[in-house]
Amino acid sequence: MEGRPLTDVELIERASHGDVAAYEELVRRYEQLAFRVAYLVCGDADEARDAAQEGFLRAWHALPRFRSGAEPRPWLMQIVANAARNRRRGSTRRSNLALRVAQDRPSDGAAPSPEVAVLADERRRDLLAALSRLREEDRLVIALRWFADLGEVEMAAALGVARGTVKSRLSRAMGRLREVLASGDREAWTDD
Amino acid sequence: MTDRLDDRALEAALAELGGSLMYPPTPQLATAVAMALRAQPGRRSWSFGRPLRRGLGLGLAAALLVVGVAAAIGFALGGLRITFGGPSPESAIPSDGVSERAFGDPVGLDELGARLGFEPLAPTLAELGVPDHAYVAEPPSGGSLALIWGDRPGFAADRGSGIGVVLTEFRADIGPETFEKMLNSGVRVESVSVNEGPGYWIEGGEHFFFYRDADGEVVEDTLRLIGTALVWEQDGLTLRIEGAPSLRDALRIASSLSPLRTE
Repeated sequence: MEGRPLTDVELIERASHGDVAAYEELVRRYEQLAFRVAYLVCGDADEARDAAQEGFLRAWHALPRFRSGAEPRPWLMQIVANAARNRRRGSTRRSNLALRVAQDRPSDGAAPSPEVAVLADERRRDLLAALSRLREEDRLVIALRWFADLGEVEMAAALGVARGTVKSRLSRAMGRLREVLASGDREAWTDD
Repeated sequence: MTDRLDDRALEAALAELGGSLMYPPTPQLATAVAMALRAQPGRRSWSFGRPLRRGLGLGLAAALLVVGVAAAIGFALGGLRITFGGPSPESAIPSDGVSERAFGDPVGLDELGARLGFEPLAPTLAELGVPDHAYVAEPPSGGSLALIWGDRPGFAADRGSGIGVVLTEFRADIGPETFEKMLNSGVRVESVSVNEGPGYWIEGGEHFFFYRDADGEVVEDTLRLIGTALVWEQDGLTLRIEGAPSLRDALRIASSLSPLRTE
């Protein structure tokens, strides 16, 4: 159909035939997610940029191994996450992941009252503070699942563990997060 | 009040938190990746649609994965090839001083007209002033000029070598890949416009320039292993500035270039 945006599957099919423009469009669709995943893994913006770029370049060269007709997102994220993990492992710098809650987050619907907005902001900050008290391994698995919205295969690649390990690791991390929160102000989490 | 936090409430809160987090700005990865792929020699084209070709494709892919990712992704300017991810620089320049060979023969500024096959440019930036040293090397055809400044305000010199800024110039119409710049892990390349011409800003990690002599041997061309470099084409020349503390400073130097007057 004339003018219809190409699907991811169509773009990667074209890229596999050497179409750089198609691959560029595909990368554009996932560059933000890839960068954020790499940032969560590396904890450093410069490293994340390098890792994401390296991942996309590696993926281009690995296109012949891509299963025709499959969705490219998990495959791309797997390669990017792998590149990020390798960089983090090779880096002598300690991860310094600095996540902050945005001020004045736009609302999807009607604007909340100022009191509700303040409470919501406080709750987000409390949750982020609780996360910061977790071990790095726990924090990362939660961030990849809930912040980057990765699937199990993508998370397994990012963490460098077997797919079956992801569930148990996530479950343990969530348990520890609950403990940290329970030791603080539980009321804010059980009221609504 | 429950003693245990509700799983769904916590998951919902985490998902909601994920949507409200601030991340560093996303870089333009698509542009950088496409630029690197377009600059690649012999871009591959294969299909995974047919079994026979797929088999061939996999063999080719395996070869390209090794050669391609390891060495063949690059950018090109006149007479200069910039290559990513190569091997570690076994011929690394000794860190204990300047290699005279790296720059060529020391010359006076008044000799440049006779020694070079092009009209040299020099910055008029007040902080830099007159260069402390000038070197001419050949090859390449037409010669290569290196202007060198020591410590200057805002352009601190390297402690080991005493060198602050190096401006190198050579003709852009010389054979391709006469000079090479090898980028190793951790190096970042940004496509920039310099004086309305194409250029690249290179920073971080290990990177070094070299050229190949008539026997194909690698000859180191600079003393710097780690630093910054702005390379671009202008007026038929390929120019590079090393040692500027930032892209902004390098662009200030570049924008102040004018024909070198030697009286």
